[in-house]
Amino acid sequence: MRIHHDSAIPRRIARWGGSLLAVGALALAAACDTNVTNPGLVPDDALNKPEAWPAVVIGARRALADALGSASGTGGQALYWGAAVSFEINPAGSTGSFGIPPDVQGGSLGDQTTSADWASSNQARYVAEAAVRRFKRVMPDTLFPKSLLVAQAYLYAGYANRLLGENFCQSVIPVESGDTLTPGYLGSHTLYFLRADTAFTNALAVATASGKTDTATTNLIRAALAGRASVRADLATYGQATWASATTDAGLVPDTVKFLVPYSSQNTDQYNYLYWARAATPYRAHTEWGTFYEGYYRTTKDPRVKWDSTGLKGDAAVARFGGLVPFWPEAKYSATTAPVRMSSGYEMRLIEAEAALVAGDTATARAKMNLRRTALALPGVTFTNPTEAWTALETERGIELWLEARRLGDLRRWIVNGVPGNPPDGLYRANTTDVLHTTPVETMTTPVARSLCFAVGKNERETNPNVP
Amino acid sequence: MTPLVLSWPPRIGSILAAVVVVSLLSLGAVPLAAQTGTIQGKVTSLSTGQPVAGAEVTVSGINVGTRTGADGSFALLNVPVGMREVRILAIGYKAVTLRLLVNADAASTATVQLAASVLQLDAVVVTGTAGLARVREVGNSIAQVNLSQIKDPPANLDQLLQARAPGLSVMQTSAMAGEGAQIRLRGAVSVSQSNQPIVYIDGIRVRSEGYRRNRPPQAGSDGFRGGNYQASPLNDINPADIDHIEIIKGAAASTLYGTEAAAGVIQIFTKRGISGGGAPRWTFEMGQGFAQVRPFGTDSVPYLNLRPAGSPNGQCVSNPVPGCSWIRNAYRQRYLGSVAGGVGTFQYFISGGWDNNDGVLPLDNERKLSTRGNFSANLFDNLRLDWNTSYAKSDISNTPAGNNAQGLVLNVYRAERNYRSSSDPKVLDSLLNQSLTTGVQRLITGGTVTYTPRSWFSNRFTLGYDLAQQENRNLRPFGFVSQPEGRLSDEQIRYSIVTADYIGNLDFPLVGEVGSTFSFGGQSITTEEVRTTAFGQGFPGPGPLVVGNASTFIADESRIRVVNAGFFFQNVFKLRDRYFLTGGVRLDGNSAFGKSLGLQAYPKVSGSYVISEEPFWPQTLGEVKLRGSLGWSGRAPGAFDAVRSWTAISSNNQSGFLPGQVGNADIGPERTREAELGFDAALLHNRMTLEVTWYHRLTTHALFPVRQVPSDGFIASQPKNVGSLSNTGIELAVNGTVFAKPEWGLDLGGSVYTNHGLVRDLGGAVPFAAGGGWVQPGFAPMAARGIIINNPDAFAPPDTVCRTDCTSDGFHIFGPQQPTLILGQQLTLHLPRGLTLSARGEYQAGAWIQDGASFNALTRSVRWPTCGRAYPIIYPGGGTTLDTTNISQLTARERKECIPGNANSDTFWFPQDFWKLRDLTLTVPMGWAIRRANSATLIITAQNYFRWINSQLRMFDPEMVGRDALDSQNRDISEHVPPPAVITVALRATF
Repeated sequence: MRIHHDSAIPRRIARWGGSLLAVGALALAAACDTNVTNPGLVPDDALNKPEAWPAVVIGARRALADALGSASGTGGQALYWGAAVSFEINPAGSTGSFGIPPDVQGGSLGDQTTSADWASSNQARYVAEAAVRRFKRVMPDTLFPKSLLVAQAYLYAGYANRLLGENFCQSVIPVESGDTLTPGYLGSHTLYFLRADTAFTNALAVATASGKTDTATTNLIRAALAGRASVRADLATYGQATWASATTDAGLVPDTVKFLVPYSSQNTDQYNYLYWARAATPYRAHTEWGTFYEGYYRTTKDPRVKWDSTGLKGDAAVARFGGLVPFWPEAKYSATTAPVRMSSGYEMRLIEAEAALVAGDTATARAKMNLRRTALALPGVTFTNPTEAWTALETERGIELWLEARRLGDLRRWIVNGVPGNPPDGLYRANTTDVLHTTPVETMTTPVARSLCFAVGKNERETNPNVP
Repeated sequence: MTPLVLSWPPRIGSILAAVVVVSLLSLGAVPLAAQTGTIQGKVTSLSTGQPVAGAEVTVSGINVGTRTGADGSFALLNVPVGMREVRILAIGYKAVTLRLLVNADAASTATVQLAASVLQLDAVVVTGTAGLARVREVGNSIAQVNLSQIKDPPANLDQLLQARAPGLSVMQTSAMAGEGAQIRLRGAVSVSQSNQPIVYIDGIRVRSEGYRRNRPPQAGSDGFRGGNYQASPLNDINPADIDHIEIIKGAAASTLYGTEAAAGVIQIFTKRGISGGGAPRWTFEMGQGFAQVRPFGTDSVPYLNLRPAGSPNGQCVSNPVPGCSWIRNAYRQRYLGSVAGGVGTFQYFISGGWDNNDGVLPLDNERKLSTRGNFSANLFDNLRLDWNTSYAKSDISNTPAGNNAQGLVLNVYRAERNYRSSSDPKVLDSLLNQSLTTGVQRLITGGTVTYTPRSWFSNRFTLGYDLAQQENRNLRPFGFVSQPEGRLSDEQIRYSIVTADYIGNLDFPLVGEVGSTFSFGGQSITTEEVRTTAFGQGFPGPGPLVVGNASTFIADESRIRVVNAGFFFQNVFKLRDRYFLTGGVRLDGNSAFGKSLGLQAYPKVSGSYVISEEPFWPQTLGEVKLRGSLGWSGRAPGAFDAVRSWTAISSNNQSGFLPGQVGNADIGPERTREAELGFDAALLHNRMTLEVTWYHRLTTHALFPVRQVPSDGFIASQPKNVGSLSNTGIELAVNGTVFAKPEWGLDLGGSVYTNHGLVRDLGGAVPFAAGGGWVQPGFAPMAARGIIINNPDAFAPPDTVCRTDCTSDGFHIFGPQQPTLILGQQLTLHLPRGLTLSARGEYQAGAWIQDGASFNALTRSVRWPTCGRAYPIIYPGGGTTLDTTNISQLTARERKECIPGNANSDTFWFPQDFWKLRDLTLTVPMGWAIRRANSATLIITAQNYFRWINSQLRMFDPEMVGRDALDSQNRDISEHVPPPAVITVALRATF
């Protein structure tokens, strides 16, 4: 259909042309007007401001807690799944939400399953080390060497590296160049111990240089000493440090000292994950039924390995028992707020005991082991030969460091390095009513068919061109 | 003159206001003419002589128009004197244009007979066209849903759209009251961004993404724990208020909508008033009905322990004894009223509605009040104002369901192995001692000023505001069975969208018979979502509680604002009114784009050719329009995706920072290019219409969550524009009249829609999981990846080796999670005395669904009906201790599923093919029974009552979705009850 119009239209078009151009120009300007600042996320450079520095360090602490176990989106389960594979707990709940996956129940920590653990543990290391790098960049030169914030960041870097070294099979450490990181290469897990050693050493140096002697600073120094003693014990087992260097640090840490990573009831992201997974609200994901600690606690009532008898059943995928097993949850962590211990004076005594055994001094070893037991009014350890002594030491470390993400690392360093002794295993019962476990039907011996470490996550292999 | 507005982004607001001001000042509105007359007349059908109701009658160039009444009559008042061009258009007829002389204070009469034209080439559409355009000019397919042609009274918009157009997939999600449906147009266009089409109502952009799911109360549980339901904002719209809907399905048509429109556009047009000075038209409707769950278990346990209404032991809610029923037949009622009229140049449509629908679960209920006022006025001869406002209020209460450990449905399904360790109804009844409520208030208001200073120059300026206020509240009171200290969460969310839109159209001739329409405009869409959540636990005792009564409470807040603004130019070249070529470009900016990106350009080109109007075309071949189009559109990244950021966190009541996203300064929109070719035809003397479309859609710069190297520290994936994916398919719709006698008649229709999605490139990334599916080149986006059991029925160990369609790690790709084939069927039987019987069926095939509810149960050793044959073999004597002595008597699938330790979610993929009779409707004229009624109809409808489901999906219903139903990319059955069947009896009368 033709549009009818009069001959003046071209003139009118010209007349309105100015308006059209104005409209076009204005619309063009409109399209550029899209600047929006949304609150909630924090830009990177905001962390450079001095008022943000304490929160930078708190982030490192939170990242370490998340790596140990957290329901947050970036959380891992190093403590939880390591406990399952090393028989500190047995599965009693789902394989999905808050549960133990089938492969972990079977003792496998393959790269598919461990990706989240790998990511969160690496984030813990990165956040702490990035804090140190940031402080070095933005703090006055006179402040950095003696800032307690720097010392704390080093401390968390040390523990994050220890967590990686004790639990993961290999290391991948990015290459630093200024503030940029280049993806790293596969290396020995002991590199993490060396890195932790350096971090603890720096923490000690900075904290000491601060010149402060208050309780917080003293505790910080002891935490760094205890951390360094533990990684030097690890390194000593692998022949990369002396036991003397470990016991020197250990000796500076009094018995009752402990360094904790806190959790909070504030929200599920900050809950103690191991507790929450077993809480009857409603997950009941793991039980002490069938573990060494079940029988040991039943016999001794050693408070270090306390568990509760609830009368409930877990809806576990433990096929042999039709999915229902007694729900006897650990009671070391009995609240969402329960902190996890990273180091303690009594661990130091066991390091001294282990060093004594290495030196063949079983009497000193016995004495060091019994310090804690005496304090708890428990009978002392007994042994008649070095192998039994080692078994006692390995058992005592299992009890003292129970559910602290340490057992897998211990088992590995002893087994890999041929350390004598027979650490206790977990047993499955013949049936659900057999509380005396006299007839074990599935003996899960270590190390047969069970992982001794978390594989480097598949997510690393799929994203890092330097890791095949 | 005071500028219109403007509190949203000031520059944009000022600019768009200035556009209007410039136009108004420079052109000048023309006051209403001092001398006016009336045009009146009657419109009838040329073939039958019957009056044509609802025909649009407009006077060109002066914004005067009305619709014909039931008797076909119309009257246009205050028409300026002089020679006037009057256009009459009605559904199913060819448009007619008359020239009439209007004299002062006199009535000009026109009697018009309309010839049938089922193709509607002269009908006007607006969606995707930069102003008004006739169907003949449009080079892409536009699906139209006209409410006047729909027999069954839809309960909500989801139901209204279901099975109405090829290329449109509307999947229900569960039986929960208020639950919305998942809508897809031509499948998925993105693996990381929303695939929900954007929605406009009367030119105003409104929310189309689902409301936030009402989550179980848990500290900091945002996005983590599932369960409950998700409501759709589309269902705030009263379907009785809708006049018609236009749907454009992808970038080939949606270019002018810019960055957000790659998944298509649905535009809803609500009813308007009528002018003419006659009596207002009143319409009332009352509906009563009930919803009923059809069996969804196995033959032996058809309702999976829930048991339907009618159990001899009664309803569990009133008497929780073994054998009682948790499901009820749910009563529904609806009352609607509206009035349409006009006075002088002012027109109005006012409506109200009230729905009260029980759900099939004990605590489910939805009450909805909806009101609307649409007003139009010709302020000047060349200036028209339309202002529409709707308000809806929904109050929904739900039974805790879904993957909710404290939910009724999950615990009933799992019987004695549930979280209460009991199947005793008295124990389970205690789970109902919680309150789960959702309230939504929705206000949509906005207006359009249409200014037509000359017949060849028009301007349209639209302002709109969509405000939704949602409250999610979940109370587990003091003494609640598993959390005796009590818990309460309350979440308040405010969603708003501000639309500012200007379109100018300029018609002018070029040379000879070539005409042109130049269009230009700008648009700004500002979307905001503000959410505050309060959670408390530990109450001192029973009683009415607020969060502040708890011993510990926490709060959370989020605020996201996104601005998308752009402008466009388009020109339509026209030759002889049958050749049309359209070219245009939209330029967009978006607040979520990376700093370095700048404006994004989306071009388009389309053409149409009404070949049947060529002299050489034999009239016996009927009407045919050929069409083709090519266009680009986009999807913006997330609001925070461009920025390197840290997340503020807490650790033991101290604040800290954790890495957020590594940031991407170059991030931009996904770009989707879509091409479509097709034709529309009316054949066999208009007895049959045929619409065929082939489409191909290619999304480049697809935003994939690129994983970071974990050892580098930032572990959250960073969206990057690295991938590409495509969709290809056809759409075919055929409708015809088999026979039409004075009292008898039969109309049949059918449609075919295919969609084959393909991931083409990952930009070097390794295949990854996204949205519950798998993304790997060569397969559909968000494909169903799992473990295949090659010998499911063999009495042998499971053979799970992947031999075809495998991932690098040995998993099998079953197929897509969105249907690849949808067949629609419709039938209308015209019976004596004006009765009609109509039916619509829908078949969907090609998609896979994961039965998470069965897996969740079996992996927890729940005795599940699919293993009924296996249990006596592996649990001899009905014991609880697994005995695998006779495992050889189990099939491979039984070995994989029925032994709890073997159960693996990866084997629980099943085809979700189904056919459902969407509705079966009988309409009975009842005008004789109601005094003074112009018309009255009794409508009896049964919806989704009959169905067929692929037997490989042994339980449940393919139209079930897990946690984030509307926005979910995948389909996953969780612990819900399938959508129910509904029977409704409604009486509609017009006075």
